[in-house]
Amino acid sequence: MMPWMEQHVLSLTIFLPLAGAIVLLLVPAPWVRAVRWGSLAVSMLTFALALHLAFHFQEKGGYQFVEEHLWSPSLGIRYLVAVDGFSLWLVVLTALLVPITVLYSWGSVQKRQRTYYFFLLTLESGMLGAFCALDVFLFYIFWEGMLIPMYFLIGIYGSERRIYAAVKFFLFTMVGSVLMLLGMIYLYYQAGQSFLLESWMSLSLDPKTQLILFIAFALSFAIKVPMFPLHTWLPDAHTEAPTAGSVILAGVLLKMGTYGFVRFAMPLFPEALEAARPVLVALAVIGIVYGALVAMVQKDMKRLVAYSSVSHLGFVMLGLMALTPQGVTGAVYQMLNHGVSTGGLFLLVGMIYDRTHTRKIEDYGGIAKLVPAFSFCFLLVALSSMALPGTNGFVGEFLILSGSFRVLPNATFLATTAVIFGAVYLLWLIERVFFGPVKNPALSSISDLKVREWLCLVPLLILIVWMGVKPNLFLSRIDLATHPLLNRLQSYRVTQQGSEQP
Amino acid sequence: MNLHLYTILREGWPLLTLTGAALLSLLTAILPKTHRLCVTTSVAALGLAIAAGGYFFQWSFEPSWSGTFLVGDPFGRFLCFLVCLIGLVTTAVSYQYWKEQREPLPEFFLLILFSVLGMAILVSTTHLLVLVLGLEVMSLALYVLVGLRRLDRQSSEAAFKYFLLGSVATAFLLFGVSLLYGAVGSIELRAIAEANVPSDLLPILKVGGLLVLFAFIFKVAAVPFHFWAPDVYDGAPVPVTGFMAAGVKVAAFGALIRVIQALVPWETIPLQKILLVVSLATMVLGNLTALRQRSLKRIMAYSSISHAGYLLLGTATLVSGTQFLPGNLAAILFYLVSYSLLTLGAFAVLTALSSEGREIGDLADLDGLSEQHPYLAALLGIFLISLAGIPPTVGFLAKYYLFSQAMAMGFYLYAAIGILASAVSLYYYLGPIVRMYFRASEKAFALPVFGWGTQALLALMVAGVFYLGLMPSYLKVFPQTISIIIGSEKPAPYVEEFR
Repeated sequence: MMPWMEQHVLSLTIFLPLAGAIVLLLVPAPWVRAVRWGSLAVSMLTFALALHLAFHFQEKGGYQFVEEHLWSPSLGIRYLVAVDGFSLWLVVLTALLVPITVLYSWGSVQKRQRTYYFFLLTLESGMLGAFCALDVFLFYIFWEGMLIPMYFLIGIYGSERRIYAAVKFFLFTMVGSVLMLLGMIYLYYQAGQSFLLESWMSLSLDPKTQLILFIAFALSFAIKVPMFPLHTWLPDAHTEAPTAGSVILAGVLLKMGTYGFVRFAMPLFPEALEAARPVLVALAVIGIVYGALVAMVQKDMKRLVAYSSVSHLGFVMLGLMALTPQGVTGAVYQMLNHGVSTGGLFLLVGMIYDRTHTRKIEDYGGIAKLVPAFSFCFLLVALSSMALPGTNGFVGEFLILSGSFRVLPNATFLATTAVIFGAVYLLWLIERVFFGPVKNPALSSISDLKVREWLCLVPLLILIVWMGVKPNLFLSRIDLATHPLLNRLQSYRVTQQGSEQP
Repeated sequence: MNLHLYTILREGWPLLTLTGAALLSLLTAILPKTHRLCVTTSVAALGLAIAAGGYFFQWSFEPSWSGTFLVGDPFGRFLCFLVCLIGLVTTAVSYQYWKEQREPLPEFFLLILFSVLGMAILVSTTHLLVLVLGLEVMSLALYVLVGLRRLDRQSSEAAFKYFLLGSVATAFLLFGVSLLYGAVGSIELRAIAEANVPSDLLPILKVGGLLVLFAFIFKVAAVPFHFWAPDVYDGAPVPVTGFMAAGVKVAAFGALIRVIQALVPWETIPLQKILLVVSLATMVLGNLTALRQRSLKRIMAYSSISHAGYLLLGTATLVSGTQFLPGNLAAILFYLVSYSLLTLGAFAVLTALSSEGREIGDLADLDGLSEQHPYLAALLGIFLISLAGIPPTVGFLAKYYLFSQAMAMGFYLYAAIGILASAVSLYYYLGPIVRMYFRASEKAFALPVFGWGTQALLALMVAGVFYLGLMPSYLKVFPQTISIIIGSEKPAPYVEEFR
């Protein structure tokens, strides 16, 4: 039993939430407490398995915990999962955020709970699978399959415009994905009918074909990131989703886009990447500035945080496109940071919404006196989001900016000035919501954080400080994957442009 | 060739079972009214089950044979098996439905049997007149089936439309067949494939082939001959619509593929081009028009039209120059299986919702179903999501397989447009799901209680959706199905190579 579990620990991690979700469906509807505790138990167990993966991840790098099974020889699909430096911490982040959202949802979801936790756990399986899959067909199945539970979560449990937001989210992402499917089919035949990433890496395609395929893949991922101008699904989806949905959407699902770039689009098409790099850098910078500026004028708290996501992920894309070790490692690190800080922000907004039932900033004012603990947490998470030194956000942004300054000075200049905007919209939000006089008399009866909510927030707060002060533990693992990627891309650039030291 | 009684019995016993069951169900009219429906249903279900089992057995184990009028090859037997299953599922889910109608007509089951009989003949023949016979038996039974709710004006109107337009299609077919005969001198598909036609008769051959092709394009409801489908699907009783959507496609495509195999060697007939253009128009138009529909049955009708488009794209991959590529059949067969399963499933749920004699009409009738009947809502949701082609269901795998094959043949543009059209189709498949899950219900759904048999059947179908979508290793049974007999008395060799 133990050796089998040792060998299949990654598959266990991926499918445990799904198994738990299916078992949950069999629980009779009135046994709500069993459903809640059951889903918490399952997600905590998955987190424990993810920690096991992190503990036992070795210094040698490469793909670890590999599991390979034949799935369909006639269709050329294999079941191949593994983690490497890029996906390890994303898996841990996912496994961390889901129990937190489950615990949070105990207080805010009161109707149709069984289906809620079913979709949440199924979503977790989908996300974990997508991060670990190394067979591209398998990745696609998780990538698309993940959309269904998210769609239902937004559509059933969201706010007033939830139907519009859910359908837009689904359709937008799906259209991008089917283009990627076409690219995948083409590469499948080129690689001698195999979907394995390894075999695709060894293909050499002519630049024109590469460009078309890169566009197909990049479009799908760019929608997910989201990059300007394909970001329009994000504000609606984030705002209308239930809190857990927003946390998962911002915390994990957006990372799928950038992960897709770093795992598939960038390594597979090096020459096309060179050609498309100026465009992507420009779009990333536009995203940073645009996201920040639009966030400044939002009247709805959740929408503000949603646009801040656009801005933050613009930073990530900038770091990736810099193609320097600091840039890429910083970008991947920033993915984790964004998950923690923006996930935390959505969680906090959800907590205050549960008490006041309004997300409009103008309905607030001076609540720091009423809910000091909540304000402390919010301030800390917001400082992390605006990259104050000492917090995790600073490490990520600093790495990205210093990594891209040498190669993309103009873009970095613009991006750095946009950091100020980040501080502007967050500090202004805090000022309007927390400080000053208590304008709204209806707020005077709100209660401070309960124990359950503290339990949700404390892991995130610890991570904010830990990842900001001692990032090396995390960075060292990420570096193990950054270097092979850059070596691969470097070899193409050297052959193309002579020597160019990054 | 001598037709021994023994040969007839050994090779054709499933077909004879169907005929026997049909004739037997005619006799149930002598029973008292209370028992009539029940007995007819049982006779029909039993006959279909035995025939399905028989075809499956023949498909798996029996060697091929060919007679003058009928052939027994794996392709035909598999499609007959599929058609019998379609009939069986329709019979099982519609018993409750008919019990609740103002006129509970047991003739429904009788006509299903005849229609299935016609479909079985249609796919098991290489003799063009027998093909017309099969088509007509199938269609005539369907014309009556569509109009079976006699007291509903829409039903009668739909039946009349279908009858008129279907007869035009049959006229096309007969005219085409006679022209082919005139050019070739034989009415056997094998002879048409191999004949030596003098060049002054080639135009006659071409026109004949094209007319036959158009007749089939009508039958599968592809653009530009699709205009009958929405009205007919909308007016027909719900179980009949499901049966039509699934069964006619399977049978028509089966016959179409045989005809294509015969016409492929003739360069004057631009088969691939016609199929590609028609499929493109159908995929685009079918999906775009469905976006505006509000009636559930019309949405399913347009969905059916667009799936015909995808299938035609798959059929186009069978033709390469003057070569017929039987290796590409597996994708089409799989798509037919997936499509019938999903469409029948969706219509089974719609049949369940059309109780107390009232047909399910608008999208708004589904509001809030998930809270009152979560099981049914989940079933419909799964079938619709699978039809849209979302992993990890069978609908996705079937579409993937088909488009993958199209890309392998080099039809990049068609595959790209097709896949984008498929993504667009998600919108109208989500419409009912939005209604069921995201809206609250105002009224109560008074639904009949389903027997455990029907519940088990539906559960099996859903299990099939996921199993077939996730365990594609069974796909290797399809290569055994792809040998078609044309051109010789001996069975064609199995094509082993499967990409």
